[in-house]
Amino acid sequence: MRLSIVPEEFTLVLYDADLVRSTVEEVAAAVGFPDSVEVSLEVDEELAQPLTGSYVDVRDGVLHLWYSGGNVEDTLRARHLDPVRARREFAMGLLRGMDRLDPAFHDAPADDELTDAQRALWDVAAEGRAERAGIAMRPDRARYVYRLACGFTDEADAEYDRLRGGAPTSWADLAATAQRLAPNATTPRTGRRDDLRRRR
Amino acid sequence: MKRFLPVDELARDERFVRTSIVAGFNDPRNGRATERAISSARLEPGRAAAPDRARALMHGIFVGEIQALEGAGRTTFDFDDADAPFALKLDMARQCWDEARHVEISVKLGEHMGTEIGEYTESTFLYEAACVPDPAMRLSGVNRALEGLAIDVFNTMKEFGDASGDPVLHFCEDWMLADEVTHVKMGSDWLRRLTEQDPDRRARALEFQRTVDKLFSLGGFRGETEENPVQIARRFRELAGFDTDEIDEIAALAAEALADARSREAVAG
Amino acid sequence: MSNDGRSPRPAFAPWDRRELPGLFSVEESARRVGAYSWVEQRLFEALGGWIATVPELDVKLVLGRHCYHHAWHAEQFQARLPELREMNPARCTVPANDGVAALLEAVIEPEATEHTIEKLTGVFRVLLPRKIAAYTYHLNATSSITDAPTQRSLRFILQDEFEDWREGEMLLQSLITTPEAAARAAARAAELEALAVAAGGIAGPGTLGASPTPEVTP
Repeated sequence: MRLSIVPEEFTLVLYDADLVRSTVEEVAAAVGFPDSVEVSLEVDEELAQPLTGSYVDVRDGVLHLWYSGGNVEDTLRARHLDPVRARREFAMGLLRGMDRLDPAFHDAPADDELTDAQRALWDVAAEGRAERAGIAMRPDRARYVYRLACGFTDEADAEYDRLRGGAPTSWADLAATAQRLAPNATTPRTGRRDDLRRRR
Repeated sequence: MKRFLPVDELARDERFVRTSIVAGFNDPRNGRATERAISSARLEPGRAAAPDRARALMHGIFVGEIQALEGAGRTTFDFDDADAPFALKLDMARQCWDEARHVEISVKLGEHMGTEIGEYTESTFLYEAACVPDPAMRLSGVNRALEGLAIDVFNTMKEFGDASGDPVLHFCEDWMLADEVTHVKMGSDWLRRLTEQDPDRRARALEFQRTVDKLFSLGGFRGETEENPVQIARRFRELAGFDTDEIDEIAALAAEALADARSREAVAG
Repeated sequence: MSNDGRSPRPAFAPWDRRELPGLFSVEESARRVGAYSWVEQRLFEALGGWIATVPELDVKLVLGRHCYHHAWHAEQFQARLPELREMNPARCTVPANDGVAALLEAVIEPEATEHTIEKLTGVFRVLLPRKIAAYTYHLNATSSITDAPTQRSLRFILQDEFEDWREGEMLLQSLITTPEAAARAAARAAELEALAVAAGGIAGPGTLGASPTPEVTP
């Protein structure tokens, strides 16, 4: 796997770029990420816990992963990398990237154009696969994020269980599911209002 | 058992990791997030990182409730009956029960939101405010300033629950909010009674309250603008007995704290 | 018998077996209530103080809850004292004797983080059983007609005491997991029991009988 990491050296936080690299490589092997795909990973070290966020997009055949530094930060030791969280986050990103490389997801809009519900549904499917690949996930966290986006309803919970359980999915399926849940979703929006990547 | 237990002797199990609020001042990332395309710092569903911010705040509430429990408990023990009459201690014992329930509620809510005990660090300056040796100052600092802050925080969380359609969060926060209004009233009542004959002591107690109010608005955490995650809950504060001037003063202190934070960030570059 | 409301009925229904005589005079009931109140006050203050000193989260929360229970008991007793002709409740809110004061001082003494077993043993294996015994004796011995308000308070209080004792005992059993811990709890209980015996119970000698001023049956 060709992997480039930005920044090459962290200056604001005490993250070790080599550890980041080896973590991504280890997780890529665990989830079966194709060797042939080039990956560009950016960890934005200016952002801290709990200001988390991530974007996964494929442009010109290259998988672009962007993470807030807060996503992989140790919640108990500021500015330190938490390798366990990093494994989870990178696994999710690589799995969603694999989806984007799959024709079944070619119609999917870019991450910053997804609604919260679409993103949450996609994350749930990826979480289930990550767990089955042996990555220790936090289903309690995922369920709450999902419910915030898709609603605190039995119907939404059933979709959560279906997708997390490994039901085959596609962009069309996720979009339709989001559409179906929309009347009961609590934060229905077309697109996300904040973009942590952009400067004012 | 000795009277006046210092903060470094607070008993915790191994899950708890303590941090100093000052430690955060030296983080070179401070202020950089404000340059990003975030339309509001308010805690609202759909805003950047809302789930993680809500979880971190819930954990902060959890440890804050533990310290409030400990502080109220110490007030039942630290003073002679002459300094703190039985009726005051009875109120503090009641507050112990309330705070213990709030800890229980916070643990359950944390699980509901996907966090766990000890996931975030604990800062102990709430308990430090409960360590002052004068019961009048303790009541103004804890029951009026900190429990007042709790009104703001719980109302923010209640609105978050409401906006996200989370029936569990909305329900629990509303109940806790009711308790906090009672605690603030207790504080106002006892401050008045304890200092009835001593205007200087009352002035000192109110000054201490201002100091605590400013501390807890640190970095713009609480206020009335889009830059403040936690909003001042004017209506519930009024129910708790704060008059408009007092609430305006807290809002001014909060604005000052935000301005201080911005200056610090500017100096740090 | 007619139920038109005009036919005379006895003041006491056939099933009402309450008796007028009781073992306590007004003064003796007040003395005991004052002594109970003093114990309840020292106990709730101690539980409040201990909250910050115990690392076990579940124990911390139980102490917070029980702290209020005992404060409420003290309030009930304080409210009863003026009704028992003690217009200055503080005068009556004293330890029954120096031995009771010594017992409470010893119960309250542990502070260290690692002494949760000692703290809980003092409260739940010595003091609460002593209180339950004293309150039950008072409930059974006093006149159920003349001192009925005290009895009513005692019944509410005993309900708390039984539940709190059970909860505290369960906490202790969950903490005592080694022979060494069992020995610590036993030693602590023995030490405090000796003080309780020396005091004659939480209301002093006669806590469970031999009232010094038996009431004369009218």
